[in-house]
Amino acid sequence: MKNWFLLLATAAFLFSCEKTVTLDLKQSEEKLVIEAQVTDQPGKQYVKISKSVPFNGSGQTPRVSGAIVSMEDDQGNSYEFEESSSGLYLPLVDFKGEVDREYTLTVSLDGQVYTASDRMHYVPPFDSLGVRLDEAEMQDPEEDNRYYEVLVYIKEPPATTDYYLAKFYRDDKELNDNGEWVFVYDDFLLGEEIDALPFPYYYAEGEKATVEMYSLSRSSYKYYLDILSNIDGDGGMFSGQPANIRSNIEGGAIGHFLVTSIAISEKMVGI
Amino acid sequence: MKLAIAVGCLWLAFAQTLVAQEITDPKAEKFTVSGYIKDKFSGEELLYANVFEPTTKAGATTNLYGFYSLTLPAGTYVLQFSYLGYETLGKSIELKGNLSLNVELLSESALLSEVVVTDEAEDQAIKTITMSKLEVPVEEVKKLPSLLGEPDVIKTIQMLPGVTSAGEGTSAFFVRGGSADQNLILIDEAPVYEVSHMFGLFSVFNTDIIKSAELYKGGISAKYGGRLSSLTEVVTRDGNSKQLALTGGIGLLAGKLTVEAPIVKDKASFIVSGRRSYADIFMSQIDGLGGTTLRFHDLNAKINWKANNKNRFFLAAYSGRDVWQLDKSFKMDWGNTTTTFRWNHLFNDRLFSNLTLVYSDFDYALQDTDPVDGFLWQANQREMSLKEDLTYFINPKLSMSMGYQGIYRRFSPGKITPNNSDESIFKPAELQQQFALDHALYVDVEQELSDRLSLNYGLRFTLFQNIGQGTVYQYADRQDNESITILDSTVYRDFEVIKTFLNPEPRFSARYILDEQSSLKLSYNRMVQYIHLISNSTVPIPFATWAPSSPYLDPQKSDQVAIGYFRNFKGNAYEFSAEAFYKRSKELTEFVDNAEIFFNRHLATEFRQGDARAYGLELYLRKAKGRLRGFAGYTWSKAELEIEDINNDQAFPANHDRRHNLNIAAVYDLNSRWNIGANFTYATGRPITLPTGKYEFNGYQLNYFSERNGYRLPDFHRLDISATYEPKKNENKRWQNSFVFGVYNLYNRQNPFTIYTRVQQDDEGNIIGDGTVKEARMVYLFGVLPYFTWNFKF
Repeated sequence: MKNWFLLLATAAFLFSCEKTVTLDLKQSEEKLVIEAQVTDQPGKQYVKISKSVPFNGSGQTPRVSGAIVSMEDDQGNSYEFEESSSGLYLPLVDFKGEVDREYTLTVSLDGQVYTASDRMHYVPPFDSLGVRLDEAEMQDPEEDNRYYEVLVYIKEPPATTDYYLAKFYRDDKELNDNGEWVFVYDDFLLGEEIDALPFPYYYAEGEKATVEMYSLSRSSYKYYLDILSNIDGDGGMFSGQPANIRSNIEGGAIGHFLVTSIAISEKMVGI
Repeated sequence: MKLAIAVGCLWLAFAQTLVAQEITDPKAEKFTVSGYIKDKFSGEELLYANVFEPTTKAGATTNLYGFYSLTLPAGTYVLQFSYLGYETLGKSIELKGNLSLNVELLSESALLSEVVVTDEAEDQAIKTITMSKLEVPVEEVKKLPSLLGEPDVIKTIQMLPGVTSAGEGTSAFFVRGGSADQNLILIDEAPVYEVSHMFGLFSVFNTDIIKSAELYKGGISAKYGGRLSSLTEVVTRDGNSKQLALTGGIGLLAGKLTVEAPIVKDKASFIVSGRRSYADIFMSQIDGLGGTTLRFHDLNAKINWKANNKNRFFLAAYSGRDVWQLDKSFKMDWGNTTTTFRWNHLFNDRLFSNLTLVYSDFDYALQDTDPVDGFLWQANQREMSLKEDLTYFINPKLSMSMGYQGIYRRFSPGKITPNNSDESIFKPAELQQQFALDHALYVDVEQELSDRLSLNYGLRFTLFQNIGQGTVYQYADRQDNESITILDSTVYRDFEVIKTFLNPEPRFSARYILDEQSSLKLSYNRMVQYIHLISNSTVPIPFATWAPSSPYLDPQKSDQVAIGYFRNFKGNAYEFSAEAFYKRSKELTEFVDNAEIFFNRHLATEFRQGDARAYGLELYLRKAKGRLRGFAGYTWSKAELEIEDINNDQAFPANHDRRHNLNIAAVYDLNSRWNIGANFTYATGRPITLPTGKYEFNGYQLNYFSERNGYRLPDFHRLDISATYEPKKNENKRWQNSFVFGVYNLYNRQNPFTIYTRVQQDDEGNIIGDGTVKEARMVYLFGVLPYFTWNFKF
């Protein structure tokens, strides 16, 4: 909720200032972090195992090797994973998930077993993407030459309660405000016809715009909302008190097992 | 209804006993002298002014409406009428029948400044039974330093002992460990739900219209209820009933103007006061802001009609609003509207009745005009209440109040309307409205048992009903907000009772006079709060709604005990008090970690209720008269909470828990034209939750927390100064000027407001390095800020 900062800064006529400070923090306990996903797209199934580090640490967090990782579905199919690089576990034989099936993840490490399960939800396909030149932005673009809007056309199924995570890419690079934003929504307020909804970012001619839409379970929706408040909190002044993110993994690890179908669409921006 | 009859009978029986006691008094026949004490120039009633009869040592104090009643044996007396800052007036009376006597006192400031008034200072602080009550010196507030030259009673309240704030630039305050929503703030008896302007930089109270402002931290009489921690009672002026008067001022931030005049001299008067900020006019000229503007206004109006000595009426209204425009397409606004109608009626010289009808509304709206993803979001809450209070001045040693208050409440937590039905991606939606009926019956007795010992005891009986229409869901697990499973639902019709709560709230205070200069006081009170603020932040933002107690939300309760030692020095020139308190609260409403507060249909799954306790010691020194005036307060206190599912069920410090608090506010008259003022404030840094660890997920650098509020921001301290210049008064002209100069944060202390974290980046927002390093950013608000204000009076 840094938005409230913006408000307050405006209110204070931009009197507010900020600076980087070094925190003198107590010892942090080390937590095992499991990041796992199964989707309906080939090549997107993986499990990453790492550890948390002290807040002031730098560099990649330590990866955890030597785990036995597998997934299975409610049809009795089982999928073995093997470590392809340090801490990254990929399926022995590539597979893709199917909508409406329930998947269970099992990770065994140092005699401890971690499990999680969830059901894959249906995601509606994109009807199309459109491109529109934003005249006002062209007058004074925030970034050079980027004044094209990419427009989404999609139908949201009105009968079901759905949760979505959207990811936007520019030339295959994910855009999320330097890792400070998550585009996560429920459909409570959404109508059926989503027409000409612009991406939250502008594009230049010749750039490739990609959008991915994930259909989330409620627990995954909550997880991504928690991520949003975790990275976007203001220290509890106007936003809620900072708090740990919930996990759907049992056994004492943090992280999340994401079971999702994905709709993907892309568009070359240009006339 | 049965309850009403029962309490009524009890009261009658009790009153008869007391009256009987009085009738059997062997002394001579008694009569009552009663009336109003007023300011000679404006005709304004003076609240809590004193009348004293030296030979019998009998005395009385005017009530909230300026009315006094004193019963004495028949005889000849010289009554002394006095009020702080006014010349004491002696009046000879011959009491051989009930007597109606209105008196007018002369204000020192209305006198030519060369005349020195040497009246005795009051020893009211010692004699009154009330404890834990602090008066906000409104006249001094105008001379004390302020942010951008806007005097603000809320900012002064934040400096009083027993009160903490979350930091500068906010209007929230926390009394004796209670949270921000536990303060009942009344303007002319109407509750104000959101007291902040500009997100808290200023409050909604325009000092030009305030007659008195008082804060009760405990020992709250049975007349009041509804919030756990405090009562702030702001009374506005009635308007000059003698002649036309204009008051106004122009400051850096806002301009204000007050007009008041008699309609019928001494009988009827009106006052209208407006204030508007004008920063938006400059902001709209600044290109960099892209059309962003922020403004607020306040409008107070009051009509006052003294039909005769037995009947007085007034109608008061307040309306204020903030409008924030972000570029061309996005707008937010919020505001309060209150209306009070009051009828003061004297059944006889000793039975005073006050009937009040109150309406209060708080609403906010957010609007995005984009045709595709724009919408209008509106929310409000409204209450209408009726209050009847009867005060019976049985004899100088005994008075009794009894009353009823009924409130109808409507909560509209949110409604979304898409902008254009053809293009919009949204559909209309509305959160269920909630309704409640609130009844309270009370008896409050003030009794002087001996010259030394006085008691104030009472009972407030509250009955709260959450009523239809509405739908109540039954959840498989009410506290599971992750997978909400609804088993069943019940639909309630209009006014059908969904749930009823009934609570007795005993109140008790005692005062024992040790000697001429000192007294001991003790108080106990139980408070019950039936409405709950939907906010999980330290400082509530103006986009917060409230919810009634309901099947899933119990009323919050607290018990508080306080003891105090009161002592005056140097002929009452200095008032000193030391109070210790212990407060325990139950069913305190909090939200689970990562709660979804906005537009949540299943908010019931996010609530948690638990225990809170707070204790502390408050020292207070006040000098109300003389060339040097002001106060100094020190508080040592502790406030903690213990709520299931929060902080692993372990106790944790409240967001506003600050161990040490020291505040000094003083005004000094250099000469008849210049006076200077200063504020100094020091407080232990507020608790904050900081991450101890971090981890990676999906490319995000996430924080890991070990405990809630486990760290503290650096200490807060600041010094402000001001100087007020009043040119020599011209005896022949009514026009008066004053100029206020000031500096906020004189030594430019960078006081921390909060700390947030982000991936390490440079000033342009580009990530430094590989994006794995996180940094903590400390935000602070105001550096050294000079200001200037011009005020006038006519």
